[in-house]
Amino acid sequence: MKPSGSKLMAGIAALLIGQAALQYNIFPLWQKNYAPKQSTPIGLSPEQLLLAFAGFREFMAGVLWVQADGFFHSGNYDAILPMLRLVTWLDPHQVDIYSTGAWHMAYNFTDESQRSDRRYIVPALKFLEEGIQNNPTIWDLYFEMGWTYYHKVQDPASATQWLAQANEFEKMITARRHILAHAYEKSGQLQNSVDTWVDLVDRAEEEYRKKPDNWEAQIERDTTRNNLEQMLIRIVRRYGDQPETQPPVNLNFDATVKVVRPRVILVEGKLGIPTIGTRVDVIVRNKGHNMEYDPAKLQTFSFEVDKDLTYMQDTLAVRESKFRRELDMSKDPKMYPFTADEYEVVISYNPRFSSPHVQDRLGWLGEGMTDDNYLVEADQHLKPLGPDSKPEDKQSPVRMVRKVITLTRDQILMRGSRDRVNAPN
Amino acid sequence: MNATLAIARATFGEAIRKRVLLIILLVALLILLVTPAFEVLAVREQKTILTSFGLGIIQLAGALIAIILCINMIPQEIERRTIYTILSKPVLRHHFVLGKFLGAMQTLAFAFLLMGVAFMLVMYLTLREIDPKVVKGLIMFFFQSSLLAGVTLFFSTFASPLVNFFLSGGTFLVGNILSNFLNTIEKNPQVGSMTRIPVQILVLLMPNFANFNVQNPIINPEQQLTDETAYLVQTVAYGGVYICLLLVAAVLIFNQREM
Repeated sequence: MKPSGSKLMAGIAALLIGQAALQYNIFPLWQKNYAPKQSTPIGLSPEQLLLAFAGFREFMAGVLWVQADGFFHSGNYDAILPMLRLVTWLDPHQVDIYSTGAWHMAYNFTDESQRSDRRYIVPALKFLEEGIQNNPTIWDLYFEMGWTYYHKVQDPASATQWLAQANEFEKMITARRHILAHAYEKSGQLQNSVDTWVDLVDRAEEEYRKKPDNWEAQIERDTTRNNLEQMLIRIVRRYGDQPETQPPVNLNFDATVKVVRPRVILVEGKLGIPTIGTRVDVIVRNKGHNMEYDPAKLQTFSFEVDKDLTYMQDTLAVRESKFRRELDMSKDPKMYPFTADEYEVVISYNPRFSSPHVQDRLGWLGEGMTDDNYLVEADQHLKPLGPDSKPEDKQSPVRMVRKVITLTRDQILMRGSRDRVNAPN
Repeated sequence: MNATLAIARATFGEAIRKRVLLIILLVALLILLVTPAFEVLAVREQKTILTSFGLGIIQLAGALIAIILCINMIPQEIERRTIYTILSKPVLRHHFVLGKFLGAMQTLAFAFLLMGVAFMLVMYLTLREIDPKVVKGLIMFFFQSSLLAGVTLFFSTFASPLVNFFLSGGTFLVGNILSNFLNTIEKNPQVGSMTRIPVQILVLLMPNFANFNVQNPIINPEQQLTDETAYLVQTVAYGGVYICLLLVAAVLIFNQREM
């Protein structure tokens, strides 16, 4: 029987209401589970945009990521940055893109001497922060944030906050949980470090009891036990009844800077540490510019960095209590623009980042060292303690040596003189 | 009902002999087979890329097959005058439309089965594992393509194939954007009700293809979802109801058409 037009119309109306009711219920769930976190991607070619609009966002993200990987392997790092932005716009749940992208920014934009461009560290931290906001239930990016603070920024106190959050996730890789204990140790929070190792030993023992034939469980148990034991021994050696850190050793620290060619400086000096394996830090920066590694400094993520900022950081090895090296910044004018009038060369030694055998003599906080001229006390974030410092800033301040030398732009560029310039101390 | 099933069988038989559909299917299968070439990536990235590529290719091929399959379904029968032979028998027009659609769904099911098996084979050979969640994605894409087939069949009752191609493609595009558009509007407090309400009405009226795009949590399995089963069941029901709506509308137009 042929259905009548009016019956069909009634059917259409009923079905239209039915589908609208279903859509009304589906939309809130779609928003919660599947809605893209970012706005529309800008920068895609028309056909890519069409594919992304047609529901193939993840597919496009995959295509672009493979392309970005190709750029990485060919060393074309500049091309990677916009790709990263596009991929995370298309699929903000691919945590690997955030972690790999932040790693590229923090580590891989290097000068001719393989020194990374530290201006990109803050964008890297911001990128990770955005990744965490988009993926708050996944441990990876909390760990990456903590690791970047711990290893790249060398700010273990800030690292502990992120690593502690990562360790709260049950799925966290076991071996990576150790970093929190190391970060507590490096930031001078010794009790927290011991507590973390005790917790890790308990977890490892429990896992080994469950899987006695599993070699990984056995290794983890042995490693955590050994690390806890080492930590306790170090505390006793450094702070026991007869501490090896006393009496303090006088470092007799000093350093000089010479401009040997335009944008090339020779840093040399002495540091009286009676053992090998020590390195001093050298920073060349616009005068008064203290790099603050805080993602809150950027309102939103941006690849743009201050093109007028010169910020070079390197370490020099100390051999037979002396250090000496030329630092060449002439081949990378984009990274070291030298557009400001004055620059600071900061030469410092911080015992907190020394190897354990050096710390056995100097202590975690530098209690075992002194210096007649350049000894300073700095808080965990390496800012000098001043009258405005808050009480919490003064927790476990570290004793370090630091000398700051000021150079003018003309001196660094060797303008007005063809001779070597000895920087005023 | 027998007449409807007979038309469906004939449509399926005709569809799998169409070169253009076989070429799309073959290209999709070939691309699926070469996806392991991304072995330069890290293991986890490789799995992510493989899954996103595989599902993306299947979704794209499914959409193309749905449009190209249904675009000619009714106009070709009229052009060849074979429709007169069919309708001269005890076959009603709504049997014809329903039979054509069921044939299209059968063809899509066949294509998805082939692509799904190929994808899982590639996944197993590359990663030595098969993620069962992929099946969920394949099923949702099948319903998405079926809905698109319904849209194309509906347009084919009154539009020429070329016009239908753009109409169906455009509907697919808009149907994928609308939810996202409404989501952006709802998050923006500066957008007034004059803009929001028309978009809300459009979202409720137009076929929403974005509902079926459930691949993101399959590609990034660490995500935590809320009421996933309820979402999937309602989405499949939505697809079914909307297809019925399109078929009834197609029958209404087709019944009134002079031949």
